[in-house]
Amino acid sequence: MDERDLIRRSQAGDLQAFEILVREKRNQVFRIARQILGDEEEAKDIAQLVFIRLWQTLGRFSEGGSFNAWLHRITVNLSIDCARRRRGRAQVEAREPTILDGARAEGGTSRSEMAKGEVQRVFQELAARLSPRQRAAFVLREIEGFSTEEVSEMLGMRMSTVRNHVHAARQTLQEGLRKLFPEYARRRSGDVS
Amino acid sequence: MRNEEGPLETDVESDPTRLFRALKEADPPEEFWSGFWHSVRAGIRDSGRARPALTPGRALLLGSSAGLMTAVAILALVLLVRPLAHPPASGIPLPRAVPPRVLAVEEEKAPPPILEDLQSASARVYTFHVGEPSDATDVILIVDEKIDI
Repeated sequence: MDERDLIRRSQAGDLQAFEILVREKRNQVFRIARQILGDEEEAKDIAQLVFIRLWQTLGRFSEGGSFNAWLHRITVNLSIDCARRRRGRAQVEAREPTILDGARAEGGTSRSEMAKGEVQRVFQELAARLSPRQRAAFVLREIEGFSTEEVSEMLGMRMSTVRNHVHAARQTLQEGLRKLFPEYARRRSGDVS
Repeated sequence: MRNEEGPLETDVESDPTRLFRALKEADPPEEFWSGFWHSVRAGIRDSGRARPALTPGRALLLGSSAGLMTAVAILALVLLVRPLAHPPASGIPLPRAVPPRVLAVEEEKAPPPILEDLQSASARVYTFHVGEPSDATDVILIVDEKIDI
């Protein structure tokens, strides 16, 4: 059953089809929420809300549109709302060890996985300097790899605004890397992936 | 989705995206999702919707058919109630109908007319109806042995 069938059946009220759709999309929804929020547990809670909201609004989704744009618009909106509610709280420094960190530590993780954990920590620290919209634009465009057009649809803003946000975010991150993590600024991408 | 791959040996200093793109691969393990679908399903149930929201077209269709059914029900109710509330008018005013049984009871309960004060405990009064029922005349006969004629 392809994605269109799953969407169609879900629109007709088929919870089993919706469950499959959730399984297929949950990682991406979680990743986006996590990069915007910087907290795994919050991101998981937001992911739940995203799929509940998706079920409630799926009847309004038309087949001609982009399902990813529809889904991640919900993801981004709920994540930004959540981030704004708890703005000002120190998330990165105070956060507890998480399941992902534990899994990496216990599972005899490879060097590259450990490196990803480090990169995650660096990103959370530097991305705290970005506005929620800049952060969302950067995550969707530069990390998840959506096109500028798709991101503009997800964020409900013009493509030129998306480009501006991404550019500003990139500059802030670059500056932060130079100042706070010079060892990363000098590294090459082949070393971490 | 964009599918362009940059050179592996790109200087991170010139483009931090190269460093952070690795985060796309950081998916949680399967056990992280245990109970997730259960919570989503419970949330769906709690939200009070057994089915996804209706499309505007479906909502309009449902709304209009509900409206139509309501209108038909109101019309039927009006047609049923109106004849009772407003009886058909006629040129001749009808007499007020009084149930006959009520009249009979009133006649039975009415006291007999007082003809005269007899002043005698032994006097007897006999009433005779004389003539046709439509034109009857009462003849009253008073008998008392103590009367001195």
